[in-house]
Amino acid sequence: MSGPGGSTVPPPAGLAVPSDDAEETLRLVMVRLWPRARSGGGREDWLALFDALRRLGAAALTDDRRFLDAWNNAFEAFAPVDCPEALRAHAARFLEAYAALIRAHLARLEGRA
Amino acid sequence: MKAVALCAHLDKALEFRRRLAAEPGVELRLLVCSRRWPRQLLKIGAGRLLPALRLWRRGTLAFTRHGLDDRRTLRRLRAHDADVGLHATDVIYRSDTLAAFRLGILNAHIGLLPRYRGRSVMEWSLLEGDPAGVTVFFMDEGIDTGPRIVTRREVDLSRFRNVEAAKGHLFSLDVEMYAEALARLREPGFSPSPNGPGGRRHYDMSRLFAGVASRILGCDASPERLD
Repeated sequence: MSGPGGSTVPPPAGLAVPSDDAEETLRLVMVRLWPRARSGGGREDWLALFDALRRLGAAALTDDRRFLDAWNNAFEAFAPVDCPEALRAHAARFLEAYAALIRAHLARLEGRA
Repeated sequence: MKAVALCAHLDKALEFRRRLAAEPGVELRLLVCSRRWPRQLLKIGAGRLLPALRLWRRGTLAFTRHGLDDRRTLRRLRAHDADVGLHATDVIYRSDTLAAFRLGILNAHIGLLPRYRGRSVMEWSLLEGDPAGVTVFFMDEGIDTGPRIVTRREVDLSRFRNVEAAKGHLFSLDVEMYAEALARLREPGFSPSPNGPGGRRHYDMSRLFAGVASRILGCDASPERLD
């Protein structure tokens, strides 16, 4: 399974600081791509969202929870969608990456406890 | 000081009038900007219709169906020659509208600037363990990036048991906060504080995190909690 940033093993959560590029990608996701995908978006809209989220994988592992929440929002929008065949492989990669992110954050919380 | 309250709803305009009319040194005008203002007028009920009509006849209250950046509205705003606008609409202002006021347009934002810009900021404050509150600042064309903060107040939300009620409370403080801001602006030598760097733009919070914020609020709630 690959990590959210495309790596095999996700780095420990909370270590990096999101870049300015990540900030702009977050804006793009939350202002354009996520609203478009969740309001009846087609395959291309979902692909654009998944692609942008992939670029936010490293930022989503940091302490800045806005980036993880972009993934949360995408998951909540995608969960009720009847996933078309053409989107399945991409959706599976998105869900695997999201699960890896959650696992990384949980592992970090357990480490703190 | 001359102020124009820019309102999406007639009810809000009347609230401004009720709470700011007695402010010393403030000359208040009300502008209701809505395509539906005739319907608002019909639905307002006799008790408030007559005072509204009196204000309209006196020239204190005006209505427009046009957008705030429409040239007809801009002409009207400029004619007021007002010091400040008070934001109570749901639009982002363009530079022409902002420039129609000598000092600018104030916004009562339900988050503590400069840290919390954007949306769901009360929930984000709760999630991050920071105080919640309201900030009044002069707007620019960006999202809560206006560089001059006039006043800010931390607000204790511990008596609320859910996010909606807490948020409603913060929103309900807007006119009171505007009154405070106008008083500050009238103080001799007052200068706004900077809406400095270090702020982050926040976005709609997911249901997952909103649930966590709500739980944090519930855990912190005092025995005399409100719905």
